[in-house]
Amino acid sequence: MTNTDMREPTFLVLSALANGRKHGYAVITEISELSDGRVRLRPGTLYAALDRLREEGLVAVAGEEVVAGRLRRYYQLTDVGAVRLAEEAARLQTNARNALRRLRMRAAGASA
Amino acid sequence: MNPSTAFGFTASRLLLRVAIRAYPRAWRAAHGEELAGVLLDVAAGAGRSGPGLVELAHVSAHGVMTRVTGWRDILPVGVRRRATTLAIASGAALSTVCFLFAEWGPWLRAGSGYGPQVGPFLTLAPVSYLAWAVTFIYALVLPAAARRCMAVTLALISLSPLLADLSGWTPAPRYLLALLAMLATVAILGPVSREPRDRLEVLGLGAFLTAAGVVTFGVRTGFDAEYLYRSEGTGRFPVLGDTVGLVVATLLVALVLSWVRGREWGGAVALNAIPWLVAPIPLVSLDRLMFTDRAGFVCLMAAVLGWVLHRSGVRLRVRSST
Repeated sequence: MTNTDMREPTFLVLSALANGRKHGYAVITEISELSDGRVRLRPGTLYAALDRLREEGLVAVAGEEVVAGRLRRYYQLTDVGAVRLAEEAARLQTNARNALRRLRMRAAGASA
Repeated sequence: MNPSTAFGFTASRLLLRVAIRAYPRAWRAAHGEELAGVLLDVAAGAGRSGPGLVELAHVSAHGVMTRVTGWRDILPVGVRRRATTLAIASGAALSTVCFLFAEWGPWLRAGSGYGPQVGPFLTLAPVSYLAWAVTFIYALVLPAAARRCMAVTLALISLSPLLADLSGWTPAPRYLLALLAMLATVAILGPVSREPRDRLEVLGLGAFLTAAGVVTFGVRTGFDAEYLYRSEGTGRFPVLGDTVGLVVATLLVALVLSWVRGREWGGAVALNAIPWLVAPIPLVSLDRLMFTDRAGFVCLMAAVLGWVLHRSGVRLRVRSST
């Protein structure tokens, strides 16, 4: 049973961090790629999400460095965050599978 | 719209600094440079020399929201998460005990004469008790929704006296509602623990400690509606007279937990002792003897409580206007 439905930006932030630690700008570009350019997260939204996810223990700070005079702080998924993301992905997958099956039944009904 | 084209490079950087100043100082110290870097990276990625006005406005709005919820800087995440979970369990246990021993139950003495009954119940309080029970269940199985449920419970508790006035039913004792409202306030300070084992441990601990404490102290004086409710007319508040004992017991548990499980556990328990310590204070005009008897002890407990909270990382800071 999942805790509750996860909002898309939260799901995408966790997904962006699923394959390794990333800094803020990398998370934004990764989300843009993951959503085929449909979701363009603003920095304010990103930090609101990161604040909340750190508070809930789903992501954690994983080092920092200075590049071209700009501070880059890296974030990574925690074990709890990975479980939560896996639960949400499974939920979405089930919903999508059920929806597609019903659409196929509808199409089959229409052609019969 | 890109401010750099209108005001030049320096104006763009100036606006960036102004936008980030919308955040509280502690947040800026922790994330200001990082956020500025991300905004400049985003602008560079879009082929601009500085961030756009919409992005800056968005950042300012988030900064203001962070200021509004600035209490987050005071409580470490580990303390807040456990304290909120503990408060939900504590309020639910207190509600259950009051429901079983004051409102409803075959063991209750008939004809208490407390006031006009509300159906099978003594007062309107079961409405608030039920809301606490639902919140506890949410915290157990749907922790992400527990905070919203707690907010509804707090609203119900706050509206309960008004509802009693409008309906003519017997209101719940106001001091008990005040205690539950204070626990509810602690409970909405943050999200409930998401880690299942941590959550179950904290919920179990809070429910057990509160129920055991209230029952143990109540048994001494005859444990029923007389003990839990019935003193507003007489000016005596036996249950609140016992809260000092409950606070002492709670702080002892906090100290033991600090040592065994870590300081954040101790801080979470100590934070939950505050409502019990504060609850009798407004009653000083009604039950001066009870209060003055215990005033010195209350101060001592407040000092111990402050020390446990300080050890857990809780810091009260006076913010400058900058």
